[in-house]
Amino acid sequence: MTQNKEAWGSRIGLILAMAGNAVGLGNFLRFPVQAVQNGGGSFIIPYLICFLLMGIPLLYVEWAMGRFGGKHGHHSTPFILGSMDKRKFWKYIGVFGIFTNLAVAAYYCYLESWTLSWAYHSVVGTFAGKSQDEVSAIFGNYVSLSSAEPIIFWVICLLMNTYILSKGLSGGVEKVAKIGMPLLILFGVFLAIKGVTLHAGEDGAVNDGTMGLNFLWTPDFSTIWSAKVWLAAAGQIFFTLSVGMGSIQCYASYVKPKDDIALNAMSAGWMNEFVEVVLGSCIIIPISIGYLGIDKVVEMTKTGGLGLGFKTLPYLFQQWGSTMSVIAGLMWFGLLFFAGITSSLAMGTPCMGFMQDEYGWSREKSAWSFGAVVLILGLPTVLFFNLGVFDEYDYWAGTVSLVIFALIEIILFGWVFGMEKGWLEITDGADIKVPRIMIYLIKFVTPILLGFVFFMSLDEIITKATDFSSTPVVLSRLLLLGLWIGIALLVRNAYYKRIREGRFLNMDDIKSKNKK
Amino acid sequence: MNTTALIMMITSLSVVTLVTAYYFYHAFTTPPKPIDDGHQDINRPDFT
Repeated sequence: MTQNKEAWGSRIGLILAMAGNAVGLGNFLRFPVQAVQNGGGSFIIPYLICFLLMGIPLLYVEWAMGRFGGKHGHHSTPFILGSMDKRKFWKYIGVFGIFTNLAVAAYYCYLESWTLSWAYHSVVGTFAGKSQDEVSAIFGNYVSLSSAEPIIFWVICLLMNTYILSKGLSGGVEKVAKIGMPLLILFGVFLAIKGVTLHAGEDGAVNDGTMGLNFLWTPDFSTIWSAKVWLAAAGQIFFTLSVGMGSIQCYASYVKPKDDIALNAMSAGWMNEFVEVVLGSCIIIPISIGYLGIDKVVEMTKTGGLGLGFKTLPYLFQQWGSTMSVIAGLMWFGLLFFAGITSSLAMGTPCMGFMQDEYGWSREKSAWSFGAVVLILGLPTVLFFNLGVFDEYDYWAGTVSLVIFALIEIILFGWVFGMEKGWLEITDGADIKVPRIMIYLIKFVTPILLGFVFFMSLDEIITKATDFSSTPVVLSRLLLLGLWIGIALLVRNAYYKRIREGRFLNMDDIKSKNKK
Repeated sequence: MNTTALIMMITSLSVVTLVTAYYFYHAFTTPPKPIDDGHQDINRPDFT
């Protein structure tokens, strides 16, 4: 009964789409700021350790779960998780894998539309001749909705996402990844070279670009035993790899049963690291420090990387002359746009896979419905951005939900599904030798690290959950809760629909029916 | 740049770049597996 006939067109397309899913705005805006705030060069040590002990095991687990679900005709987490154990509650844990994607897409597409708009403004010369305060004011007016422009760019962005999704995996997502990812790297390399080769006294720069690198990479080893630094490193690995979202499982569910997942997972995961560590560290901090000095940049990074990326860089690019400022602005916001759209497309596929598998919807109907839901859910983040709704979505859907889902899914994989079957699933068809230590990492180390991240955040979670001081924020929290419940009801309905239609959930269902 | 920062930077960037290149080289040069019939949808009538 499933209408889902999607498949990847090529291996490189799959790897680039999966890397595109992981590479997002955070690679360029969040990573360097986290490094500056958490010990500079010494941040890379906990960061890479968390990548090896938590990121890589989670990548293997999510790819393996996805391909396993795909073998049973499931392309979204409720029934992928449901097919791994006979207990019925797993499908409700899988609700997180649809909820997170819908809720994150709701605010992420707005962020993505900023990059599209700022690329346009870079080309038409809006920032030319403006002071830093004036460029900053343009951004302030934009998010305050002083004109209809943010809404127009947001709707254009949603329409682009929906249209590409309606063209399917090989005809839409894969094509965008094959064009977008190489361009992203090209633009990134160009800007990184410009950033690193800045010279004091040239084009108004007050410092060499290498001063920014020096500041970013000078290690403060006294911070290395700080729990805060490890928590920041673990958090960064989470956000950057897009684990705990359900989108990796969805993409991997379209891999053929005997095809490799081990090498694909490593290629996509390490490509994300290349973009983040190599390109991410060489653009925003060296250029900003080159023009503004260390003290001012440290002050600006306290509010995150968005301010540097959208308020400061467009002003600094103007110092490079009229032609180069257009090229640099187009490249910077172009690379952020490609980073964004390859991630938001990945957020659409789990929801579409669910509706196609369970309700027999066509690809086009699923895609346009996804676009409509994201439009409705995203409206509060656009209209009430300055009232904290955007941050509320980001906290619950883009942070807490990821950790909860990742913690539960790795317990399911390592302890319930079992590492014996799990190991076979990871290594089946593998084009590389997966080290056996991965068994112990998946079973013991990664769950403990995830538990550490969760329990260290528990105090903040409780504080946030019991904060009722802002009505728009409370309403948005209730909206997210309603969304989760709504998806859970759809999953429940789909489950009973399967039973009525005599459709199997997993191999245990088939065995029990054969016994009868 | 000071020596410690330079060592940290060169080591980190080299490790990440080389490992990425290694996996990509493998992915590009590994021949594709023989084509099978795609997904084993357990709800297909001919599934055994």
